Amino acid sequence: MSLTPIERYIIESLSSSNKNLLELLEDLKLEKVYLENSLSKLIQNKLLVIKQDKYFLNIQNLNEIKKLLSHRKSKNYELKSILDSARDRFINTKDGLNISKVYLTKDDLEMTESLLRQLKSFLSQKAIDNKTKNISSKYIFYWGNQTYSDVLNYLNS
Amino acid sequence: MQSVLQKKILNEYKSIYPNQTIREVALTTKIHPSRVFRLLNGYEMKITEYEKIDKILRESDAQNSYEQFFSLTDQCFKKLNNERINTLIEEMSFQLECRTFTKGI
Repeated sequence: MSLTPIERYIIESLSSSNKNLLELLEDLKLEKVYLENSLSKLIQNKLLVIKQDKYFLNIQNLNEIKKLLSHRKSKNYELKSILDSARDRFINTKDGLNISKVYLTKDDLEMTESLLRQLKSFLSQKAIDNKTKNISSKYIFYWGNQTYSDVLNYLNS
Repeated sequence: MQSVLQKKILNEYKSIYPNQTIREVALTTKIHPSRVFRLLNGYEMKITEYEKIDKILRESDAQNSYEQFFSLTDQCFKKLNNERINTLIEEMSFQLECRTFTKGI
């Protein structure tokens, strides 16, 4: 079994606090039918329980939930959903994704990596959960680099 | 007087079935041959006739996608290695599990 990105999203929301349907809708900003379908699947798989209209993570199954969150297929699904969405937005609006093809000297590369480390460190501080804010307002950042030949050789691998 | 929509749908139909006779168009669309003759000569189309032609075009699109999909799948199996095939299987699983489920299908 693996988690779809929406199931992961629900689990992340409920890991900060238990919520009823309306609170989940407010936190996740999902269409009700999508949310209800995913909730019923999570309950069926004993990953969530419902008590007095509130949804809880099933604490008797926390290890299973952790295992699923780090499962290769679940992580792949999450990564795919992020990159597919970025690719779609980039193709349609030229927005949301910055791609630069540049020559870098060794010094340039070190400087770029240092700047990215600073950015990563800054974002890590911001990643600490703020339980008063909606999970749907979180920003997702992504970056990385490869040489041109790495990308093209991957296509032929 | 033909509307823009009518011209568009008839041109689309002719591009898919360029060599059909009036009798064949009538058989395909289930519109009476004399009406087909009139429509092709500029008479105004009824909504029901528009819907019949639209349905044929949509079914033709679906059939083309279906054939294209299986033809591509066949070529992939012949030309790609197992790793690439597995990538395709993962992509299809993703579309099924992550998209259809959210739509309540």
